[in-house]
Amino acid sequence: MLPQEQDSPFKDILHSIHQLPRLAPQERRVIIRELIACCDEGDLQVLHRLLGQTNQSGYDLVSALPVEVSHHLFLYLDGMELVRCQAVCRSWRGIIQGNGGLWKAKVRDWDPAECTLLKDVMDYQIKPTRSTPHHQSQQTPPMMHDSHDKYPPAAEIDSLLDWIESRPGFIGWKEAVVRELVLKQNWKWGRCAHQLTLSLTMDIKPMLLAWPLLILVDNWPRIHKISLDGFRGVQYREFPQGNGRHYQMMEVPRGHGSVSCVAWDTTGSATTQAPKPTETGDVEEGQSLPLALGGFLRTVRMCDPETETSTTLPNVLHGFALHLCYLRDKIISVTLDGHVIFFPKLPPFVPVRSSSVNTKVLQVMAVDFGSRTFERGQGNLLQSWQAVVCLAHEDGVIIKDEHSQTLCQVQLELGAKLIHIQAIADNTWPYRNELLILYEEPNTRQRLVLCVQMEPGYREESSRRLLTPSFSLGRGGDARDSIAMYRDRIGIMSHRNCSSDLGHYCVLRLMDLKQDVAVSTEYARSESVDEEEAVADGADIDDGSHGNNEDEVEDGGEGGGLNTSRVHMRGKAIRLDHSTVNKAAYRILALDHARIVLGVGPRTVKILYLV
Amino acid sequence: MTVILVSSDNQDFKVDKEVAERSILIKNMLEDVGESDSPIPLPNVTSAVLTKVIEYCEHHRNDPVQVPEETDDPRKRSNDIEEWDMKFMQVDQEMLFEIILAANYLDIKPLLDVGCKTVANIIKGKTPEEIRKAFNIVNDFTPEEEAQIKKENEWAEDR
Repeated sequence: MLPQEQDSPFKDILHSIHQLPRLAPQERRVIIRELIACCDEGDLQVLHRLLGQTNQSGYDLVSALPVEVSHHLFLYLDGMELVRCQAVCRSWRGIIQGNGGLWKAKVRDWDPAECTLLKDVMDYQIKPTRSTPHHQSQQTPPMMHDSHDKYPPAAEIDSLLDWIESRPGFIGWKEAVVRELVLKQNWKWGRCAHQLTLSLTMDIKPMLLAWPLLILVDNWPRIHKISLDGFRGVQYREFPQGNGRHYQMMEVPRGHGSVSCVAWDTTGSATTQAPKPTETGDVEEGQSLPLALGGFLRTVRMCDPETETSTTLPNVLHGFALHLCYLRDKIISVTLDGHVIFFPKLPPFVPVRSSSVNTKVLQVMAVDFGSRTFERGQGNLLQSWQAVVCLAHEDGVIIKDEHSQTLCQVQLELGAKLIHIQAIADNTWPYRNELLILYEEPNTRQRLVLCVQMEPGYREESSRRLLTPSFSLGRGGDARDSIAMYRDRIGIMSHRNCSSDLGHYCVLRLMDLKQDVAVSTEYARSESVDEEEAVADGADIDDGSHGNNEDEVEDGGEGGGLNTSRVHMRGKAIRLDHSTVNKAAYRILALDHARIVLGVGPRTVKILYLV
Repeated sequence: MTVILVSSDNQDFKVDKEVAERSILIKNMLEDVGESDSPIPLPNVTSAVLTKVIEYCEHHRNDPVQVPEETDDPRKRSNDIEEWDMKFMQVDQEMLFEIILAANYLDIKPLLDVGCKTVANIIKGKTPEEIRKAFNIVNDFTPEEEAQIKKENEWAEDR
């Protein structure tokens, strides 16, 4: 195979090389290195080709490293890069996939409160310490140290992860990491993995998204309780048609009434996981009714979609009930003219307290700070509170405790207009108690987010932090804009009147304050124009293929997110005829980290699954 | 006090004890042997690599010894490399991997970290094809496998 030349150096070298196997391994390597150093470009190519023939992995130094070193190396890469590295070659794929510890280490880097995986595994609860009583009885909860360290001891995270791993139905660290990454990417790029359309025969009034349920109330009124539990092994395509497992409907008895708000008692439903109706269908004495409807015949009504029972609260309201929330053992109702009424959660629901905030309340939110108590001296009286209710009005936020006492007020600057609030209360590591206030700045009419740290010893002067201007959400809100927030995520559905040829637009913008991500995504398709017109004509907007007036759940996408390609504003426009513009059409109703609920017309709800 | 290190190609390196003890392996050896002038053979390290490793240890002779727990915490791990280290690591890939192997063998954790970070930084932000190119790796997937992987990783591509 080599040219037979008679020059003496060639023969000598060849002879010497034949001695190579006799040398010690490290000596051989020295020779090889020297040999390679003497090679020119062409020789190296030949060498490489020869090596490629004898060894499938080629001249791959990473694969040649000892396993523990290559693991150490891959630890420096983030999950996304690991996924890319898997596609390099077989030996890399083997190294990365064969090491569950590598993926587990990635999970340790995450903020558990934000992590889908943890929610998925823990039945959508961000509170690992309280997830199951069985766990509490076994050992001390892993995350219950109360120091204010930024990092909890590694052992605690490890024990938490071990505990997750040991749970039945655990999907594996690699799958969990990949799922989380897919979610992040989809959020970033505004893609959705699947979409689902729900059509009701009546207009949708208020709705609520609570893990993993979507509760819709139409103006009959009827309650539709829909399980959105799409990503726990349940195939999307199997989404049922009124199947009891996923979809429940309940008629609220006795007469009509417009429902203005709805509240779902998640703490109550957790304690009474399997409601046991008695033979008469009544709810057992002492059991809390999880669902509250406000504005129903100008009162608040308690319902239980499981048992289809309901009770009306005593009519003491000063006006139309506009907001409702649960705070520990109380239900709080806020009326149109700013009266705040506290009811006990249990029958006979006699109101315990009532006060007025003398302003129109835009949003009510109950926040439970759990094991952390906030203290504030008042004279020589030291107050401490755990659960508070935040009442947002145009100029700021009033924070009250469960005894209706005002604890503190956050005032926006003069002229600023509050649009939306969102509280983040993480009782477990990493402790994070923040109030995010989305408002409109008076001079530039830019929409900004103010972040108020609700830390122990709260003092508003020192804890305000305006998020950087990159989070500015654009100028001037339109009255038809709808906004939903979930933790650090913001979704805004804006209606825009652009130049005459482009007409009226509907643009969904998704933002992540933490990752500085903002995308404009236009989710609706141009066919929707027809739907709009149909609504204006009062026709049923079912797509006709089913041809009946029953409420139905239909499978929207044929998978893959192809129907929701990311179209920029210049793409397919949704033209809304000005005579038929409906404020209710195209609004974002709710979102959480993986799902966005859009109202498409007054009777159709579209749910976008990002993972 | 100096120690003599002998590389695989029988070259002697005279090094301060303090410098040599950056390597936990040598440190333990010296502790086992006690006071002795006998040279320490390092059969897995060539003179070229040993020169580099000693250069690193000389520069970092006064660094505090790392507490293992600190570096094991993933959140404290970062991909930042000091400027001097970055310059030090500007070598060809063969040498880079030899240094990593030597650091692993000699148990010099900071050097191993720097080496791994350097390689990780080469991988960062590259597509699989670019990674193959960077490390001279032959794509050994079958076309079917490749298509499958491509489909799986569709979402991971930053547009």
